[in-house]
Amino acid sequence: MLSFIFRRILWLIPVLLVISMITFALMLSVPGNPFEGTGERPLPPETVARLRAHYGLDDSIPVQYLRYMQNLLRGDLGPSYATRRSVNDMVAAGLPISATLGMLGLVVALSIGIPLGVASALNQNRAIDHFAMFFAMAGVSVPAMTSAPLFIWIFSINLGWLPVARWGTWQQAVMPAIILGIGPAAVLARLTRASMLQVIREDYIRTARAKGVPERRITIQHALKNALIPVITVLGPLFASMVTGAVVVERIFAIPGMGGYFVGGVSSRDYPVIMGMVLVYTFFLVLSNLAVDLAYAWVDPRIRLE
Amino acid sequence: MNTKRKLLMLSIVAVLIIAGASQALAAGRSEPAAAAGPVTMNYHIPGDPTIIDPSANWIGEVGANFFTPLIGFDANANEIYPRGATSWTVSDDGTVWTFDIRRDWLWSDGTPLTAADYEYGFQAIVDPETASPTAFRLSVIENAQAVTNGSMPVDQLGVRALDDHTLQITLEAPASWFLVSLSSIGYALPRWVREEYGTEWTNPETIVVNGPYTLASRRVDDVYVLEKNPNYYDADNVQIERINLIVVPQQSTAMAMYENGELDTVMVPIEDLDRVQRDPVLSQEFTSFPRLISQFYWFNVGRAPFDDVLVRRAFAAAVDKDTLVSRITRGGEVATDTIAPPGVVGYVDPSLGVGISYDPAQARAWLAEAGYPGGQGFPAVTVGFNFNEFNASVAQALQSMWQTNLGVEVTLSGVEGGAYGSLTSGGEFNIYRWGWGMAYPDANYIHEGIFHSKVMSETERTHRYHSDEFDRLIDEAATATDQAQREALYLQAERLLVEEDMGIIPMFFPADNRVTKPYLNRVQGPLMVQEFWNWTITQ
Repeated sequence: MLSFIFRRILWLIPVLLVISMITFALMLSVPGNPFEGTGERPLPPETVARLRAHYGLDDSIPVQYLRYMQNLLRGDLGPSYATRRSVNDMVAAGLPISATLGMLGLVVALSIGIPLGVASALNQNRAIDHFAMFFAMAGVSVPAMTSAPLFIWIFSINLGWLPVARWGTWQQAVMPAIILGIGPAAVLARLTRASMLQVIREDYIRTARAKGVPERRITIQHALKNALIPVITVLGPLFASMVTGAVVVERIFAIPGMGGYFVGGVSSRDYPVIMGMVLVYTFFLVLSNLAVDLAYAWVDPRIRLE
Repeated sequence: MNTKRKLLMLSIVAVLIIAGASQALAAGRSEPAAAAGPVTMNYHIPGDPTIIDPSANWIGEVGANFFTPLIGFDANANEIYPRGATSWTVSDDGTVWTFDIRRDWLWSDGTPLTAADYEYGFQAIVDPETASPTAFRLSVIENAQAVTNGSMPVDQLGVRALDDHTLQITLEAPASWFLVSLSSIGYALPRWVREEYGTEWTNPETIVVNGPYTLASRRVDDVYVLEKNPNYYDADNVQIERINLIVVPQQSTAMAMYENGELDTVMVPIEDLDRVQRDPVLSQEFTSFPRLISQFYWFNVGRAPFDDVLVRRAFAAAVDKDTLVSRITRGGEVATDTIAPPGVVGYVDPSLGVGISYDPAQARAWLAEAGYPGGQGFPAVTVGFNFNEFNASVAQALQSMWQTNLGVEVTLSGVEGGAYGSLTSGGEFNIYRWGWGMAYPDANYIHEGIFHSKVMSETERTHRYHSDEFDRLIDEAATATDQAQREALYLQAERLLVEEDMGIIPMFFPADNRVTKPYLNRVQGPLMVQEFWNWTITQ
């Protein structure tokens, strides 16, 4: 087990290496450059030349890449060209906020999605099922762009229960966490339902019933546990994307997380910001996939980690 | 592990997550106490101010509150008034300006302020190390261009502190717009702080200011807290003691915060304009006026078919700008046939009839005269714009107007913002969208900045427009000192640019649509700069 974890963490190195190479090559080959304003007067050519030289953008791509990786090994993600802040600072300030929001969203998603999926599977084609699947459909199809302003209108402006936006108090976290969690909750509900429907028809469930095991215990211990495998599979990438910043939710609720850096970095060709965000995301993705594999073994003893 | 233990473990994990989250939330909480404390305003900014150093960036909406330029400009009275300089003189040939710097005035750290601080502030802008996007604004000063491109040391710049209270600025050529331009550039800077801390010098812990406000604290991308600077020379007349600049990227969220009492003034999003103007309360708090920004489409006159002035005129006359602003953009924009926005020297009043207005019959006649009757035989042309919803809806309206009124084929190409600049300078499109915000209230900024041939080399000027006559008029307007004469010269220049040569189709001036709480007395500052020190709050 420990050696499995160790090996998987070692795998992080080649994965990050390949992802960083691809990202680096892609972003430098896209037209446009970081020192070119839009809609206003461009910088004089001498100034652009000086800035490019200062940041070493005139070197060949492999040289630039090696220099970047050298700095990365020292833990330096470089400066943002647009704001002159260090990307380390940006991650240090934004990641805890995005991660907190993402965790809260995940708690919402799990605590709504899984019970709903179980309930609708156990009551297939009855009112509960129809209601749950309607919720799931709505949750998937209504984007945060729509639901967030609606929530603000209802709970802040009309009822006055919650502040409109920003980050810092638990009241401010309620709406963004729910909005962020609803979409994944709907996905999880549908997955859980489908998986549960399959499992409760298995022979061993009938055997358990025949032995007189109480229905609650059959549902939770025998059925749900086995039905959770596909759910756990999607939780990995879901976790990684939720904790590294939700662009839309963070923007609408004016939350100073990492979500906006990705988009902002790409549109202003802020190369170090793009690289930093991709690497942080990859790091979380690989780690959460590892956690998923560990969870498989916990849920299903037939799965061995070697 | 039995089920109970697993459930227990799960609950422990859940509790840990929630506890962690609430701790993380509590850590972010350090909002300054508001109630019964200092007079406080909550002001909305759509993005983080990022670079506060006025030598390294555009001054922006809020940056003018930290430092003091030599002079101020009162937009309402349309006149210049003393700020860092108490008086000034200019030599007979108009090239040497001498400023008396205010006496008995301290920086926020207690250091006496001298003319050398202004000298350093000017040098910092043109210093190649700073790589300032605004360096070109000082190019009229002696040796400025040579300093910026690195061929001369910074101390050769034609700005010199003759003694502690006298600053002398020498120009390459007389420029009657120069003085007013100093209301938004050339701030005194504290050399000792800037050199010690580098780009970090404007952090709250290190910043030293000489303006009405200082930066007390900040959380990047969230809130900047400004506090009144007691050492400001006019601090007695600064009423608002604390300002929370709250970063809210989404305009509709800011509007909701305003309605919920969390912000004191905000820009109204276009989708809320109708509602605000109908609402009995909000309509009383609403103001709208044109911003000093010009939006236009220009022709690539170096390439057929737009090398023919008749074709350009035909395209201009086929655009119904009134319909464009009343039916498509609907944000209170003011349609225009000329370039310089209202409120600047050189603005051409519409009653003078300059420019080409909407006239589809005339447009078809011009196109026929150019050899394309009914649009027959006209090549396919491409219109480029930097893509966002607003620009796209305008471009689609134009496309439809040109196709309907002229019978020509027009293709749209919406380009992602980051790549737009390089594509346009490559001469990719036939017609381009562009906009120009005024940095000082004189038409020189836009005419010289875009169409004077000395500004950018021919290959970099995407429109390829060149007119010796236009250059001459703008140069003459820069040296003339008589206001009426300058206005007349700008009028001639506009007539050439947007009528006779038709190098550019002016579209509209965007509006500043804003709601302000009744207790906040907001004075509209010049240009896009907010001068908080002139605002007051009545309880």
